[in-house]
Amino acid sequence: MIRTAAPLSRKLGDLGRVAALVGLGLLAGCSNAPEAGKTTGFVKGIFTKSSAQPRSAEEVSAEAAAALQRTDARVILISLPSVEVTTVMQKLEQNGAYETYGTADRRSLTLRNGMLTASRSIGSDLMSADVTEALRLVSARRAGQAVRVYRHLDGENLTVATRMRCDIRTGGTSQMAVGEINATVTKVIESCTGEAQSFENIYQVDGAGRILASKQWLSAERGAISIQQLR
Amino acid sequence: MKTLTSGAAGLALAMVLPMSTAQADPLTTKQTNIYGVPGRLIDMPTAEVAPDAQLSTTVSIYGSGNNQTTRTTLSFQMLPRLNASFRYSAIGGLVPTPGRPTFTTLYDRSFDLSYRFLNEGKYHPAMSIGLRDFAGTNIYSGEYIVATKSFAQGKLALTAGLGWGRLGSYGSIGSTGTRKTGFLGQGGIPSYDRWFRGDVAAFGGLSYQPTEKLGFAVEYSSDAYDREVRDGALDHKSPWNFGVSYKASEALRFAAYSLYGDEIGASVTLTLNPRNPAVKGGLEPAPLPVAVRSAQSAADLGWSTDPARRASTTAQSQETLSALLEKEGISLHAMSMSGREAHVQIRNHRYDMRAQAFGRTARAMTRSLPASVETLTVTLMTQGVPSTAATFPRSDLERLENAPAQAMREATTLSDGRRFDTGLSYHEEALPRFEYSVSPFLRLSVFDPENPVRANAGVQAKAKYHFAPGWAVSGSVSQKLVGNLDKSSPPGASGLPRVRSNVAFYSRTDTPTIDHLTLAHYGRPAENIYSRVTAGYLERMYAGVSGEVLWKPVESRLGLGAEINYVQPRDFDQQFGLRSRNTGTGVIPEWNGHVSAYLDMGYGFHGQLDVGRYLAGDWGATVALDRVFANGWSIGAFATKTNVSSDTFGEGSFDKGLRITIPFAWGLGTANKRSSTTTLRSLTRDGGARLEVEDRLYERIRDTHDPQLSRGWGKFWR
Repeated sequence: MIRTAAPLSRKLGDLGRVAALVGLGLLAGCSNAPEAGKTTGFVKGIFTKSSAQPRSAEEVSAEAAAALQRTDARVILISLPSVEVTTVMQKLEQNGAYETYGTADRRSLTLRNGMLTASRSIGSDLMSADVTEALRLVSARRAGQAVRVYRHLDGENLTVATRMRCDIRTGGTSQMAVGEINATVTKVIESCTGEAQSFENIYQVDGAGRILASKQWLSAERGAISIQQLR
Repeated sequence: MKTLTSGAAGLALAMVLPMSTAQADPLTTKQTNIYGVPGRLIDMPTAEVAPDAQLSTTVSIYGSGNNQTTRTTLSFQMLPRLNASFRYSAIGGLVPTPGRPTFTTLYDRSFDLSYRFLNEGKYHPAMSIGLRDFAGTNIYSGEYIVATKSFAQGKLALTAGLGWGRLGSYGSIGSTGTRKTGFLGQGGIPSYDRWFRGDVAAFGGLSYQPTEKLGFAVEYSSDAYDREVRDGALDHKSPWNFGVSYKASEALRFAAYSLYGDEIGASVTLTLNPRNPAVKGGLEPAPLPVAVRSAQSAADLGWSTDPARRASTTAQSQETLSALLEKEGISLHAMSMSGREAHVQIRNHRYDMRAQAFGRTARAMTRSLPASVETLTVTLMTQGVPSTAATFPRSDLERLENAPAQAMREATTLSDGRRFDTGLSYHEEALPRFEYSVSPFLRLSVFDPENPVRANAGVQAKAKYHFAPGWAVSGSVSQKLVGNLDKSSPPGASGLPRVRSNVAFYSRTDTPTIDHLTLAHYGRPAENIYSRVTAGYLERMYAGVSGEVLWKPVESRLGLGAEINYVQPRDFDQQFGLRSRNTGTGVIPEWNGHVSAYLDMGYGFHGQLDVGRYLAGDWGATVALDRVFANGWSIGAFATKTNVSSDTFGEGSFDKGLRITIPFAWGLGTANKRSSTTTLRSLTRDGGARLEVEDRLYERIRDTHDPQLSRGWGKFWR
């Protein structure tokens, strides 16, 4: 069973929201109607902080090994420092060049040749991204400039597109041996600047142009996510 | 003074004009002053504004013992430049005006408006014009024009202004005509005859933010506190006030004040913003991805030609789809499928953003239906009848899964679900269905002129039985456990039958009460037309029959409706009995009803107009204006004026109020269809009162229709 640690849902309720919910009569009760119990569980969640601790490196690597044994599908290890989550995801579906990876508790990432294009249930999710220009340069391990577009939902659930100008340059090569991966990789660095923020994505790309490991920006609230291919 | 009063008229005009979102502005603050309106000074207004859509509640207190005054203020930044506030004050130490009701503490409601007509520039200040306590008893009434300029990257803000009314009562420098005393009608009417009239005085202040959390303020106040000084409630020793404020978190702020050299005060402010949900986009589980068909499989129609295979494939698809949808909080209601097309009706239990229910269902269909089925239609069921249907080409779902949601919206056809409501096989659990719930209830009466808060609490059991398409029997029974709602005394006799003002009698009983017990039928008599007939014990106070029709095309901004009701008043014990329509002050008419127009005006504003006959037989209209956010938040006001004079109506002159709807999803950070609506209304009177029927049509279908449906389309792929 693949599980993410609880901190994702931590720190979510601030005082104003709790007051609004309690003050407006979100009261416990019992019912047979679908979804009727959902609200009370969350109120408890807001009041009692989760006791789950971030897991140790040993636990994570045991989980990764188990996942590799259980499936023939591709497996990735992801880590989201902003919420102290490390977990394993396995490939669920392929749509053209897009691969969707997910966990058993239904969080997912969509990658195009290893480049992040979407997330779901991570919080402040990346809804979609235009990465064609950047992906062409990064896969080819070539320096150059690319424009990319990220789309997120704002607090009203409206789509907000963020346009970034990115400078791509290459670094040195190194040997990578993780899980079932054993390859020579080239470091590619992408420095992006937009109206409100700037960040750096870092990729390790193999000789075939596949991104095997990366640290990529997800959203302003969640920051960057690290993705390591294990197969 | 002509120019100033026309300025006030300009303000009313500017309210309805759209404005762009404010940029980062050093004169934008979440802090409020002792009156609970945005600003970093104390008693005096500034030209500062709150962030757009900010909603704050401030409780401030000063004085002690019998002279203590508490103000609770709800303030809303309606537009980037326009702020509206509602205040409930408990003012101590005042002597009642002869001829007016007596009191020990004066409970008073007041409304403020302020409009920033000039944003700050490099060399000029921001400027605002405002009305304080502009309707009602005028205890705090004052008008102002104020300028504020920021310095040192916003750490310092200097304010200077001119005030009238209370704000012109200390150190006046001139006057503009004479200011009337007393108020219009029975209060509650904008006192336009006194705005910007009478003595004028200058005021000013300085606020300083050394750190992000800490702030200091000093001001020269032009409020002499004339009535408080006259009644001995306080000593006005100095026009100088001082304040210190502390930000405990983004949502919570505290402040302490030294006032007119004699008193101290304190306040606490809780702020929230409809645009800042617990989690942007929500934390509900990830959707299942689209299952893409292989190129050749889509051509395989073999399953649909052989009757035996057709039956087994259809049954299997339906079973798989139902199981997938169940995990998404959606029930498969009915389904039909042919070689190339499939149609499903769903009951969405989870998704407040209806586009998300469409998106999840469409993806589940790609994972459960034979590859040859290319056209997928999903109908949302509301109250057992079809509402909006969305039709998706399956190849577009496959092609656009990773594209912007807007691309999928363009590939989607919306139509009236009634068109597809034939040839369906119902899912085995679709009918009959029985739902029940038992939960505590809390019935509140707040901001009453006699008592700030009254409440009844107890247990409520509800049940609903759906026995045929569109038909439901529904009931609710309550048992009061504790409460003091019955303690309020009905207002004195007016010229109207008591249709609402004796509500306290209905809170008196200690035996179980039937809140409602009805048989209802919802129907779709024609394209774009919805109907409802509800009969039985309609609400706590009335039994009868209520009929309604609504015209609302799926993609129309406009809806038109009509409702007619036949009513009989119920016994005060709210069991099965009825009582006489003769109330001593008049006879409750049997018939009432309205015609209604609903309009999404764009820019996030929604208007409603109801014209008709009210419960007491009075004729008139209700106007409502709400700011509606795409995420389901709604904040607005309504007012009802009927052919009842202010004197007959009583205190407040006419019925009016504020209402706020908070979607639970916003606070929980996960998809949830429930929401909570709070209405703050003027005193319960008999004029302009309406019947309260469960599940009126427009509110039930609005979120399933455009424009609101497409506004939330970003959640289709979430």
